[in-house]
Amino acid sequence: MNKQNYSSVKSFYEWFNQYPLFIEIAIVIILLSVVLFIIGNVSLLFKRIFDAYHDVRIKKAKELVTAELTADLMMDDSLTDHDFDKYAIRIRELMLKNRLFKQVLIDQVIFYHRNFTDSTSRILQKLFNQLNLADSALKKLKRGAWELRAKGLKEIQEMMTGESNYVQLLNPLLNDKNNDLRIEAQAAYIRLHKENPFKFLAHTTEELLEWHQILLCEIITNTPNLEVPEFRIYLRSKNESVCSFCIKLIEYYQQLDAIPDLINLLDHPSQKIRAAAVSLLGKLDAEQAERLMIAKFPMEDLKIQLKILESVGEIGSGENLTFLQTQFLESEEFTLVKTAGCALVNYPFFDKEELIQEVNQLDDSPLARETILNHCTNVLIRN
Amino acid sequence: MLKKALDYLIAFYEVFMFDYASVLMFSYSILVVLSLFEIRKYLKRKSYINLRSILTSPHAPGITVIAPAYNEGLTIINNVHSLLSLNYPKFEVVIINDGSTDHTLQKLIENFNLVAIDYAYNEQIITQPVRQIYRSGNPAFFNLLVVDKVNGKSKADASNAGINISSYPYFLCTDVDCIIHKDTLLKLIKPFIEESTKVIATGAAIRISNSCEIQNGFMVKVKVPDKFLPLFQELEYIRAFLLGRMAWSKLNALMLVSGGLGLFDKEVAISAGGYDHKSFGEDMELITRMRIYMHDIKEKYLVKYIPESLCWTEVPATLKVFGNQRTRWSRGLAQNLWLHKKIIFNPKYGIFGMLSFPYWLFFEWLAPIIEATGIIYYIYVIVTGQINWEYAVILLVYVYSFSVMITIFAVLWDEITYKQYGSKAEVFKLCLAALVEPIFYHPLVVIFAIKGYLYSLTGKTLVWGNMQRSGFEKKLSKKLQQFKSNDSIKNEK
Repeated sequence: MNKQNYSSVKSFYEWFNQYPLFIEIAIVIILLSVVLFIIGNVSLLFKRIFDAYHDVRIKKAKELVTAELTADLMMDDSLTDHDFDKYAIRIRELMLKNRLFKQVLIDQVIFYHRNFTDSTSRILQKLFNQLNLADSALKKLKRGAWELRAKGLKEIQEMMTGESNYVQLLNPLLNDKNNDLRIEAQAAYIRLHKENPFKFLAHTTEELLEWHQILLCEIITNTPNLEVPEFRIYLRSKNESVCSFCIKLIEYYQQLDAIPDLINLLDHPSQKIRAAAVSLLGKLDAEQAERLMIAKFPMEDLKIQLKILESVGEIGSGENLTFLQTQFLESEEFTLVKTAGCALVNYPFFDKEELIQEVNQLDDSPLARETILNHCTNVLIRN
Repeated sequence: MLKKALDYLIAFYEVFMFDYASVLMFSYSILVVLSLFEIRKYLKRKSYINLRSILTSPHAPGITVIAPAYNEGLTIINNVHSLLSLNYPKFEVVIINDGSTDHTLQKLIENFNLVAIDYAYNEQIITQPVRQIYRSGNPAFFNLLVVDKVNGKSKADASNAGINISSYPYFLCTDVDCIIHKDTLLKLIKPFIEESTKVIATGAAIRISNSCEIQNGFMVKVKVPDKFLPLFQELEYIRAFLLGRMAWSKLNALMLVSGGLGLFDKEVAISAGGYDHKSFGEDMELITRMRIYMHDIKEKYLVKYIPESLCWTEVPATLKVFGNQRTRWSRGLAQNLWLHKKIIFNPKYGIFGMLSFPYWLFFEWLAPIIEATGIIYYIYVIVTGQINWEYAVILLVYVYSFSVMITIFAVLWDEITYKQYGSKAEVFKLCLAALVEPIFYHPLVVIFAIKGYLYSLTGKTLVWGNMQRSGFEKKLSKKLQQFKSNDSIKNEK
């Protein structure tokens, strides 16, 4: 530090020191705010410039990659091995340009693979292998950041479907504490495991959140040639979310063999599971469950009672008309009356006029049961 | 002796003022940092998660969109079309015609082929009487339901009628004139289905539509407001939504999900008693009661916020309407704090009682009063010649520079989350506005807040100014404008 600088720092220090503490604090905050203000503005400007530059680079890379992929690979079904090797070399050159090109290439290959079938899909998979892009995805799995590992898992599950030898890599991630990473690992497991894609359900200790269940259902129902097990074997899982997930899958695959196991769930300690089981029994027309559901009706809470009424109506065996009518006429809970009314509408042997007569004979009930019945029979009302 | 006591009092006041401002600034700084963490986390997840999976799922939870309408005849049709076109697999739109005196209901009936139905209405929350309920005879509008009710003189009453009639477990509360992003439901439902802890409400950033290009109820181009008042409000909204609410969301101490856009768990909202139609800040009051209810039943819960702009609303562009709005808001705040005073520093209510509620009391409610006394004190020392100009200027710059810096960071966070504005010039305009906002706009906010507190004390009633929807008007044809002027003449008569 030269003399001049030293003296100016010294004079600033002396000037600063003349003030009481609160003014000194104020001065420090002012200086800090001014510096941060400048940093904030410069960041705003640079972010705009950087984003614009990045967008141009991405656009350029996308154009080049898309042109190569669409013109040479997908447009030509009769690609010989020799031609394919030539194209693969050209695309490798593109990929080697820089990291951005490589990622754009991976994303585009995945995009087209997801949207095309048959020969094009096979060619893209072959290209993915030839360019060693699987290695790149596996490298991502070893990175620290969860989002990179999740991205690697996405690439593997999309491009390596049925490659069981990768499954062991997934095992440590199946119960990861990070929700997003865990779901990608489970999705990859389903798509890679040829023999038993749902084996992981037996060992899942973490919760399968509703969002995960939606994602997994989508993957399961959109993966061709998937070996679908009897999901009833997982209904006894100690993990409630696994049980809830399997109930959804039993419904999707209409696995009627699961009915006895679903009936067992009527005693499940979780209200959510009981409600789902009752609902599904209705959808599966499980007449054998009706008597038990009705027997449990008085002991259950309102939510389950509503589900039982819906299910009895849905099963429509014709044997429980009196039960539904009794609930409709005698209950003082609006939602119960309405649900019973809606269950009655399409029930065998149901006579609306007769029920209205009975409603009219009731003493002054605060519930407008006739309006409720009209509500239930109105085709314009769906709920 | 008296002089000595006065000197002590003044000395104490000066120290208190400085300490208060410093603590406030420190708390803002903490909020800035927390919001950055929360926004970064959100963006990381958003970068690779595909919400479209919900669109095709039969397991997506149903949502009822509730939009009260009062004398919205001019724009109602476009707005309802906009709501009906939201991206979501299972939802219904419930329009509450809250005793409109214009042709709102008639236009709805004609345009959507509505038929009066015998609907079994379950009044779980007491509201003004429902006159009639309508469904569309056109299958294209199968998910539209219109409730015609007696005017309840509050949005809360109309919203409660919507909650009563909703068929799904979640409801989105909005204003019928808000422009909602088409993926709003997909984005707002996500926290409900991805958290292992029960989520009772979610909100998202609301922006200002005054100068935006809107066509047939759909956003065409987002623009920074041209006029001063809306421009400053835009800055205020960015700051409040991206800094404040994101930070409070991280702490699970959020006390406000705006009435303009909020998704709620219906069961909890009903158990908490629904909106309070007597409240001047019914949105904040509902969240407070929902939180109290969850604490009372000892169930863990979350109130979440997402840093995306999903709703655009027109804000007051005239001082009179702006003043009325702010007076009402501050009155609502005072009312809510007083009504739920048992929460303050009550450990039973966790972070909400120990941090969030006291923060609102000491830094949101009290700040305008402290500021006003500060200004009076400044005037007093100037008049009596006791002022130390050097110190006074330093202290003013201290507060000013900090406030501008915080706003710039809010704009930066906005740029990081989602570039709302197409050009650099628009962002530059916001930065320039940030420089003058503390001088021209903030004093107005303080004045109207004090006015609101005085109204609270005196119980004086508030009259809403007529807020001309200038932003939407511009997009209407000349014919419609002509129609509007004729209509307002009729109303005046």
